[in-house]
Amino acid sequence: MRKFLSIGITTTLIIILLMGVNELPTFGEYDNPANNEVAHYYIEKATEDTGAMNIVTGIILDYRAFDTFVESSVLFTASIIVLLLLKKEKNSQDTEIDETIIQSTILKEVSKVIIPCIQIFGAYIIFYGHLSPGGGFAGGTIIGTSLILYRIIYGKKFTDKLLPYSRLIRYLCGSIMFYGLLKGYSFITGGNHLALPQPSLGTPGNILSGGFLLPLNILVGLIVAITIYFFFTLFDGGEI
Amino acid sequence: MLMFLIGASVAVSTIKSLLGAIIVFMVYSLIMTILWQQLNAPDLAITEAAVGAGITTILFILTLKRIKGVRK
Repeated sequence: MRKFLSIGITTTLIIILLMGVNELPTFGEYDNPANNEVAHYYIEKATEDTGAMNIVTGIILDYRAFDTFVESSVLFTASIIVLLLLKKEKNSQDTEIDETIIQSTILKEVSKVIIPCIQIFGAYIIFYGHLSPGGGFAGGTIIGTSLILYRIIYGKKFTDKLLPYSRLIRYLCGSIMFYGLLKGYSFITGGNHLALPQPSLGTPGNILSGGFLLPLNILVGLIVAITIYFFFTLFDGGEI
Repeated sequence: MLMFLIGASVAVSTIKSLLGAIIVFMVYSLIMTILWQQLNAPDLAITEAAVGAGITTILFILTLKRIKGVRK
């Protein structure tokens, strides 16, 4: 009985979804909604409007910056919830230390060479986000991975000194609030002809150009890196 | 390349060993990275390499360690 019921529900759902697909516009038609003038406008005017050589960054951090803001708030919310659920209290009973600190000398020495390279590459991707491919999200992930490597190889005692929990949570909350403030400022002053000071767009191609893009990239990178580090440490042992 | 991608995605769902499935999934991400690069989307290639091949694999292996799914 239950089997027939589940088969019936699945078939009905498949039929409903296929009917929905049938209503979609034909692929590749000229006057589809996807082919309207917005894409042409972005391709032609993005560098002029936002000062970004990389149009993708220009779109996600200028035209659609609030979308990116809510994306980073999703990451923020996820890390807060994981903190709430998985963080162990300091004085709780079951804090047995089951952490295995790796003793291998080869790993330690190789990681001493390789971790700075990873971090420099991540920082490069963040800082050149408006000039070359990449941006806050990808660069933040790379920096977060290098922090995870630190944690795996050197253990909790080392990362406690370098990245204490209070500092990380302060950076996380600070970056998301600062992102909101910066973008809200440019949103309010941008369209209303208020004579408030604006950062200049500069010459496209320099690092210090593109107005708000560079600070916004750095903030998104911070949020992503810290969130990923939180995920790893909390899933691993429940302690940061 | 596309055939390899399809083969990898079928292998992920059929492989019995969980650790093997995770590694094949990582291979899938790496092929996807090369394909994004071929499609002139380097932004996506960087993100796919960092998130798909790096972070997801680490989190999956952590979960596997937590539920003691690896047979020694």
